[in-house]
Amino acid sequence: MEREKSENESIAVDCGAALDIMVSAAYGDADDESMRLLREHLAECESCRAEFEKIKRLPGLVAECRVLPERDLVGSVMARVKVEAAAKRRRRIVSRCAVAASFMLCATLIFAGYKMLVGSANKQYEAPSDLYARDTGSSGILCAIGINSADDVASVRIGDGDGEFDVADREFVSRLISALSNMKSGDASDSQDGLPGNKHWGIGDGMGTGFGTESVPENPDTSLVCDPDSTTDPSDAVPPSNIFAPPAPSLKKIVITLRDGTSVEADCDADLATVTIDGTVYDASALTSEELEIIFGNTQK
Amino acid sequence: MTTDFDREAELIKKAASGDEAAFEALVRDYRDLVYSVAYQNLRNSDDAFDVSQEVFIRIYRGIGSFRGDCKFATWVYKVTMNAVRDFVRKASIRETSPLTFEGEDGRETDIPELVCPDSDEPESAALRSETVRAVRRAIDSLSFEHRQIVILRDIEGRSYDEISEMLGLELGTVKSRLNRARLAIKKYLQGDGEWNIF
Repeated sequence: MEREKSENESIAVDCGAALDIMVSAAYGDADDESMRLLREHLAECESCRAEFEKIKRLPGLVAECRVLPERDLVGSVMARVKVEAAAKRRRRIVSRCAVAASFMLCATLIFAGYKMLVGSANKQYEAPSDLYARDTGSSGILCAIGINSADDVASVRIGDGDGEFDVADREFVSRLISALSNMKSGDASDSQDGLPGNKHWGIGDGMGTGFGTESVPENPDTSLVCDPDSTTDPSDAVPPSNIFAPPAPSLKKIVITLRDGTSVEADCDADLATVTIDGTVYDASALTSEELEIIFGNTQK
Repeated sequence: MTTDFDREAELIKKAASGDEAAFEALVRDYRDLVYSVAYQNLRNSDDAFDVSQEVFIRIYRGIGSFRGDCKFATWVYKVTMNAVRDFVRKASIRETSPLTFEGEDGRETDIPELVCPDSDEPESAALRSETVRAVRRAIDSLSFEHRQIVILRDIEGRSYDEISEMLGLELGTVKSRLNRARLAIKKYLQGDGEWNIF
């Protein structure tokens, strides 16, 4: 009894509490006060001293439970990373290509849209048979000239109520082409200006004997400039000297067709200087203004 | 003066910009933590290896989004535990089940790649290996929460602050939970009759 009392007085913590401290102490986590209490307890408790010797081995044994990978984890990971990186680079390239392709597509669409807009503005130059189509009324001639810039062929359709044209008349065809050439070269304005019944040159109101258009865009291409000195009437604007611009400079062939379907094809050189019909070369630019007047004048008879 | 934190921050920054060498350095730094956590929870070296690879690939893919809101170690640990859970879910393995290694005869076999101190005495090494296996079984017997703390603190040597952040626990909770886990290991060894071999 005396001994028990002595132990209780001298031991501040019991064995159970000491065990908690022993575990913390073994791992180095016990504070100074706990360590003091533990030292006091161990000084008096032999069994706890023995226990503490075992407990002190625990941290080392637990730490030894660490397991390292048997294989080269870093190497395996980096091998996969390289695959991932390559795939990422491919995706990036594809993405950039897609962006570039999208950009190109957009640019193409914008360009195409622009071309369509411009094309619509220049429609009278490009669409066969809706170009310069007009019946002048006074002359009774219907002449439609279309230039297909895709194959550089001018289609001339001539039909009038009189039927005086004959494509078999090679001379006539040659002169007609010459007339086109002169119109193109700028002589037409002079040569046509004084034709009977051709009071009005210009855009929107015909261009002389059978050559004209009713479908000129409201905002014509810059090549279709108006001449402010020509007249005060906008409808009398002077047409550009190069009436076939822009496709005419590369014109390779002119096909002239009458209403009855008969036609003749004329190969032409640059600027319509000469035309070749069935192997015969004609000097298309040799005609004078007077001759042209005769030609067109005759057709109106 | 460059601290470990600065070095790690620099590595993370470089890795995020595609520097594979920097990422490899991070893999080396965290290889043991990732594998150890994976292994201690899966109890299979092949599974732990596969999951560890998956963890680092996830980190590689996501390192660009790491904003430093927590310590990198915490993020790595969480990625690891998510990968472990995903694996366990797929394998229908219960996380809290203490798994054992089984040989062809169905009996427990050697624990692979134990980090044992060098010893010139084979008998002593064998005894120590046996003791370590006993401790491992004790760790396996812990609850999931206790086991994580023991792994992080007593095996991987992480600081209390790190563990507190990794597990989302108060510092005091970490300490008290860790002490209970350590006591539970001791009790397991006593109950298993292993305590006498110490």
